[in-house]
Amino acid sequence: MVIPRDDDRMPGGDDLNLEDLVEFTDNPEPRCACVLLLDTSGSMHGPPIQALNDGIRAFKEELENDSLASLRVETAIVSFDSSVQLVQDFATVDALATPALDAQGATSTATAVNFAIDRVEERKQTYRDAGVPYYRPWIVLITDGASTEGRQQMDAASERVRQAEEAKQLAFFSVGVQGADMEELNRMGTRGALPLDGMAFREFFVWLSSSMTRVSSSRVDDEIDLPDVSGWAKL
Amino acid sequence: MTGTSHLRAGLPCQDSSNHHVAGEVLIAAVADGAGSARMSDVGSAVAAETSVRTAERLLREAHDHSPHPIHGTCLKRVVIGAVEHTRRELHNEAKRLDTEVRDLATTLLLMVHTETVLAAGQIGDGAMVVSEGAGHYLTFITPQRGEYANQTNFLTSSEAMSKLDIRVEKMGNALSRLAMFTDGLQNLVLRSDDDSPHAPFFDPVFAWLASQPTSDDTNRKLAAFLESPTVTRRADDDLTLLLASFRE
Repeated sequence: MVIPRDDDRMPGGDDLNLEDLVEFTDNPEPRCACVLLLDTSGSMHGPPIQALNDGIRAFKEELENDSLASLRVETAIVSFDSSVQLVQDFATVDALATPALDAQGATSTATAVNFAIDRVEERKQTYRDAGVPYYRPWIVLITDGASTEGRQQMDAASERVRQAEEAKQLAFFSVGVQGADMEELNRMGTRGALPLDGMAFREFFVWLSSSMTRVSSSRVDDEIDLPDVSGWAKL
Repeated sequence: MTGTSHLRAGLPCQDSSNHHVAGEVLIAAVADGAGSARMSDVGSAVAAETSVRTAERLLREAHDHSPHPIHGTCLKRVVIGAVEHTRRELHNEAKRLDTEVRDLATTLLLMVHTETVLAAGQIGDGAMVVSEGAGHYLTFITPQRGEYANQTNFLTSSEAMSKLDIRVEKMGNALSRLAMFTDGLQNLVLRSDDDSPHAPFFDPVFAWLASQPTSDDTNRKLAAFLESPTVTRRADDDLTLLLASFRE
């Protein structure tokens, strides 16, 4: 396309559409990092882990349907049982592999929470180094039990979440599957945990996708106006 | 223009703009209501309207007091005075509406140009690009950003006046082109690394503007452009673009 420069008059300009004339920057899209922090301990075995895997697939499908979210939301998947594993490093939805998680072992919640916060801080540094604008990252913890690591470690992890939330370093959400120690989850972070209604993993992940779409699109200030949770939370 | 995400969310367009032209004087403002604030469409409308009206009054009063041409320091006082008054007016509006001022959260970008001096003040994001002569563009006012892509300052916050960015320049050559826009367009027309203007956007826009005969139709065409898929697939926020070209 030839664009006239240094010339205010455009012959036949009346007939031209502006959209055919202008070119936009090739700035990088702002990114929104989201860590799915998933309990894969023994108690999740059977229907819960299947429903969780289905939910992650639904999350991916929903994100794919939104042109901006598919460019902006970067998801990482961390599983925790007796150990903590980075199943999927941060990836936009086109490169997001949906895992087939299975469930066994203990519940290393505190180690997992610390691991997720470290990954988020690393990711922000990567964005800064590359000059990519970013939104406040999310960590979403889903668990059906209580930490097997002891109260002291959990208290330290909870305190770290609380401080990170207060400094607006991240947004931390926790969801308790039936059997979860809701008291322990409620001590973590500042916004309180929500109990999942039965096996409504899919509904939760559809909600999460539309929340991420909202966060990564229009501008918000401190309080994020999130979609209604009644489709998946037991209120 | 209502951004696509707002159409989806059923929210009104929260952007507003206003301007005043008289002789050698141009005063213009754009304001962007915070997406999360309940009545930010009212906030941005009050901000744009009040700031332009107040700047016009302060400028007139300055002229009445002195027969000399308005100089930079005076124009700076006009902009600061207008922003301060607008801020107070938002607090008054909140009382009238029996609501919190944060429900009216909005950004404000205000510019005043008389003869050879250009002044502008901003709290929040959005930007102003100017050109002296054809082709060379300068970002006169850059967006205020926080750590996060969706974070900025608002005129309604308690420390707003300390966040006011103000710039006054005697334009060496005549100011020929001026564009003001809210944050919806910012990432498409400013380079994200240094906020410099993207000439392949501004050149054709101003050439197109110069080729347009009447103003009503021009506004309609500009609106159609901002609503076109070319723009909306890159931006889903509200969009405001205010263009001015100056006769030589």
